[in-house]
Amino acid sequence: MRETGRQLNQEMTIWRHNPVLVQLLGLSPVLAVSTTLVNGIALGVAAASVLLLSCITVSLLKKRINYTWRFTVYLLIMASYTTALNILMQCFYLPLHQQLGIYVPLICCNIAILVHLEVHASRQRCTAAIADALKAGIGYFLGIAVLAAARELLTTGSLFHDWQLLLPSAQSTQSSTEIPQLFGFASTPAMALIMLGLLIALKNFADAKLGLGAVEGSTSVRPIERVRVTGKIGSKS
Amino acid sequence: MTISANSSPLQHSQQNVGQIMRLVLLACMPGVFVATWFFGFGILINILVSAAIAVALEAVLLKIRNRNVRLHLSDNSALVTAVLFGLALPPGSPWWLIAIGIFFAMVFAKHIYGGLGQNPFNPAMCGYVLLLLAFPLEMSNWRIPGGNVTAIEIADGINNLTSSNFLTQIQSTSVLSWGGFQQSILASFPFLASSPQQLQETVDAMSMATPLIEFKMAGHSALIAARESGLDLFARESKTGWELVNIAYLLGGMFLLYRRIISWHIPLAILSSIIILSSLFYTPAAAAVYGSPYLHLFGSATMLGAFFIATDPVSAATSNTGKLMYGVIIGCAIYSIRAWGSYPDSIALAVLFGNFCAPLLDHFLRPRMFGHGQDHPEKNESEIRG
Repeated sequence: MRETGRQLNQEMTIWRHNPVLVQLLGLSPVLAVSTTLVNGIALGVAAASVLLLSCITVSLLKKRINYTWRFTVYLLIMASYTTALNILMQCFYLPLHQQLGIYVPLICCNIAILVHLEVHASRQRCTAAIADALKAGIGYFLGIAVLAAARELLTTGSLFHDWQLLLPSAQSTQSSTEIPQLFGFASTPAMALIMLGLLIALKNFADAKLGLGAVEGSTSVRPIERVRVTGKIGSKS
Repeated sequence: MTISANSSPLQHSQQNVGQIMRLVLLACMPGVFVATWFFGFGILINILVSAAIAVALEAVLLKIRNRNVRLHLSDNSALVTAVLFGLALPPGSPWWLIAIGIFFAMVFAKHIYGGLGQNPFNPAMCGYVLLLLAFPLEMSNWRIPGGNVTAIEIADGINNLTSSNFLTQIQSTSVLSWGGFQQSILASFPFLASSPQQLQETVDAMSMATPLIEFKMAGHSALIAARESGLDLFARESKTGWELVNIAYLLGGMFLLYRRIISWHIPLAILSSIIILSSLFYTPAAAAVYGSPYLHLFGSATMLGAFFIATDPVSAATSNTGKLMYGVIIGCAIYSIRAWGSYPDSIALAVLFGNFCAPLLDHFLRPRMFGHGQDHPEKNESEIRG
């Protein structure tokens, strides 16, 4: 466990350990929210900031966290930052918060963040934890943003609809004008899943062509010896 | 001298995939011909456009996937997909609608899974369902041949049977005339129109929804009114057309059965479960809501679905018991979606649902291999020796 953690630490990059495209963690908010680029940017930044702050906290407290209860503690830390973020968003970005709905509070149980805390932050010094958390956060942000941009382009043929929601003021409201839909199906979760698959395929294609992929044999998995378990065993009748 | 012992089957059928697909296409032709005769050239144009795009796409995809293009293109499977897809669309659909659907069918439903033989879902139906979900407006755009009346206006027409110009309007023009051909070309390729007026004249191009779709759209009160005034749902021009189209598909299916391209299990299970369910619910009180068994069999796409779409050997269940179960699942799904769902017709959704179930059916209904799994292997062995 600890060895794999160290191994991962050394080669942590945005591309190779992208939470959205490689680890496939925390996908439900990615699929549900990425209907417009503004939504994607907002949720990406929110999740990345919770990730960064919880990583710093966990790496500072790593000697004091009880090993048995560590996940409870991680979840408590994530939940407190998420609550703070939730309140701040309600204060400064109310329309955007309403548009994102349940997915802002749900950051507190985002498995991508939890896994990062367990694998990376709980074993690192604070500076290394910040660097890795930034990489993972930017990776998550880029994953959502690219998917959201592709979906918004397909749905409406334009980008940055309702961009004023990203401005921190109480007056920034949703525009009431409906823009005509080009391919409305792209805003459904089914199409989100298909497009995420296409993004992953594109990334794998780029890996194969440009040699950006994981180094061969970087993770050594010992083959498991198997015993024959099918058929009748020991039953002589 | 050695005598080699071959295992069964000793007699092989000489058919390859290309021949089978050609026979399926041949069996489709009567239905296509009858549909064209009654509803004009829109269906033919649908099929031609989708076939051209499908074959081109198939060639490109095979090239990308480093397959033998000529060999795999000659299995005609892309053509069959295109024909079934073109038949499923409303006649005179715009070319871009056909292109999007067939692109999804070929790329996402077929080649991403590994091409012919690996696709878990029927490609034509995948494309159709994508269009149904993404473009509901265009996909419900069924029109009356020659007349300037859409399906929704029929409901009004049935309500006010006194307006006699409604019926004369329908019967006035022939769909097989040169004008009808021009109109359906313009419906498929709107950019060919010389003026906006010309395009507007084509809005009510070439065909008409199946009686089942109209049955759902017309609403119950209109239908009861029509019944009371003695209007038979199948009597009007295009209704008779759909009846004959279905009979033509039935004959095509019989031909496939006779040539043993398909087995009887799936069509029989689908048709009988639809008959049983629709008879069960055809009570005097509910007749106007659910429709008669005859409407379900011959007033919709049932025959095409039962004989040509659901029997796709790749995505259907394989064992005989599995095929029967698969057919029953599809038949029940067809009836349930028609009777209680919001979609007027349901072949595509039901077939996809059946495709979802097929791997499970194949897993649990695996036929026993000869000599395997018996209770007393030793006894049998001695019997064989004795």
